[in-house]
Amino acid sequence: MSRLPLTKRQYIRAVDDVSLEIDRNTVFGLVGESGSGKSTLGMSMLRIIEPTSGKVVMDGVDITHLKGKERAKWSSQLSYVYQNPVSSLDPAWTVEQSVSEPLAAAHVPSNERKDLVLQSLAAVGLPDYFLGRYPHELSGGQSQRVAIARALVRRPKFMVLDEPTSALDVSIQAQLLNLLMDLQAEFGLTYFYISHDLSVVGRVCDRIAVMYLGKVVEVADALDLFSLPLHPYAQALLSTTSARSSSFLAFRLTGEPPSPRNPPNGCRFNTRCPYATSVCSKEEPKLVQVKGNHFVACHNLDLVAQGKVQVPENFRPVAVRGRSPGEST
Amino acid sequence: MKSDGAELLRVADLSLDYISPQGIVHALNGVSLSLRRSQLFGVVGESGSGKSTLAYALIRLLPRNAVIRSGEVIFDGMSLLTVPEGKLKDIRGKRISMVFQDPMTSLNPLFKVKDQIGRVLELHRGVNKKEATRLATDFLKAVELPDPEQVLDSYPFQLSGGMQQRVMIAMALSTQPDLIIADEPTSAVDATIQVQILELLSRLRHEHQFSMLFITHSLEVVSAVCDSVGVMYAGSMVETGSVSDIFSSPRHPYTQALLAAIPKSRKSASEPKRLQSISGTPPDLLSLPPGCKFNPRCPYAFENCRTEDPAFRQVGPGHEVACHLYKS
Repeated sequence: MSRLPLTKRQYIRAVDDVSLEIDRNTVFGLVGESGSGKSTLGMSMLRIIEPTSGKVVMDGVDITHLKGKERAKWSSQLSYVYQNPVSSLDPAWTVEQSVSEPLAAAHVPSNERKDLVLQSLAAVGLPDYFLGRYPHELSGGQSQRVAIARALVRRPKFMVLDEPTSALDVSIQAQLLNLLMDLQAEFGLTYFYISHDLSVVGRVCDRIAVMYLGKVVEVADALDLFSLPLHPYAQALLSTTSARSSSFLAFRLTGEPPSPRNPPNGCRFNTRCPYATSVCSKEEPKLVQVKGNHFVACHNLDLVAQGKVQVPENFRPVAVRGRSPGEST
Repeated sequence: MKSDGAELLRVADLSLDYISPQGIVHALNGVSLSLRRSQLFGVVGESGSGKSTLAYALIRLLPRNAVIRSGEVIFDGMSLLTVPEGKLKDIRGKRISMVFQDPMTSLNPLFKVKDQIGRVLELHRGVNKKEATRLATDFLKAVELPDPEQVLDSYPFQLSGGMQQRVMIAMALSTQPDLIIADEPTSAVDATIQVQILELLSRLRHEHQFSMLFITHSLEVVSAVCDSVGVMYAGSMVETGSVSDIFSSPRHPYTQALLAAIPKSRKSASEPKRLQSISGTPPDLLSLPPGCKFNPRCPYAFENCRTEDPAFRQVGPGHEVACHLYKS
């Protein structure tokens, strides 16, 4: 759980009671929209924002409350790539200075730093002459490569990537995603990939968690989630993409999501859910294993599975359009 | 009486440069397109393609360092590039409305919604304040805002991104325009809200009978809402056609590459994660390559491509491509 104190002592419970297991050398995706808490979760995992309660365990070691030297030792294993490379790179620093910063913070001897920086830049496909460049001289794709080089420079095991390609053109995004896959293989990395873009997540992730207003509502292997999403919110999300199977009743959400300051009672999705019944506004559903590796938090899975809409105002059928990219006549 | 099918807007061979301290930026190179009444035309391109410049050039909302080198823009029989400023002001905002990308920067933060949409109505439809409020309520209902009175009485910051965008659309609709130019109207909102707004626009087009020029970087958005699409690269229009033509049989190598680069979720664990990307990087608009602008990155480029800029040729009914691979 994380919180941000506001005036008048109001709290936003940005992330509520989230438990996830991430396997080594995999790509774990976190999908959610604005206000879902996905960035907060990413930052809490690395203690960039300190969790209010709960724990983060890496390789069997509880790292939640480590301090001083212990914490410093572990911090090299974790890194974060932020959403917007333009704002995460200091405009007054050269590429060399930015990529070198984690090394300086870890007191790596200064004569060793440049080589490590060059190795990192080479790994992301940037030649030596980028050392002296400033962020304003870089394209979006190049800036993001620098941010990744910086995140790689201490050879971490675990990287949180927060919307790393949202600001990039489709063709540059493709290059960058391929780079990330190559780096994973080359350096034995484990990724936590946060994104609102379902198509990207569906492509590069092995396992996916779906968040809504601070809660994880579904966790499944990527292929399972995309072939049969069980939670109504996950279904609504998947209904927005062109590549969805016909295994569930696609629909559009109506209205706006509630404010994270004032989440609904019971299941947070109940106010917009087409399958909500009276229990949904009273009791929060727990995330339970439904089959194999597939977990869902929902009181009415049977109604959802049968497409038995309970609240018609929350159900809007999908308008049938012409063709989608990739579909042939 | 507006009739479907008649040509509403024609852009012919439009070329535009920006004069910058670094040199001349060739932002548009001989762009042509044709838009009919009640048609939704998507203009797709990546950064530097010139798609936003095209949108602003049509209504002469360009910075001072922009120079139109050649071409025509004919709107309902009028030449928009040459009409006097007074007449243009009449058209702009009234017969041609715009919906911009970021509502937070285009809605005035100091005024309530009712004052902003009210002003548009008073100015362009000559109604009094009371009538303006009534009409404003109608248009806010048309964009499916659940509590129009509340929205009218709000400041923009009190509304969510999706609601602000609906207000922008309501303002654009309120003058009963022939054409709405929308520049990335949904890139600032979440997927579930985006799809609501796109489907809303599609419905409204039939009810209110307007055409739309929809500028976006996303081919998926185009497929959700447009009838026709034009693909731009480095200031040139490289392919135009119906959405189904472009998606099922793209002809230009850039269009093909762009479609191939869109990530699609995997169907099986054995399917590789790698995406098809386009080799190289977008060209520098200060020094464009000679011949076809895409030639340095094109897998099919041959000698002619490096020397001669290909002309637009028809490859099917309503389907045109600018590429030497296709002879008409």
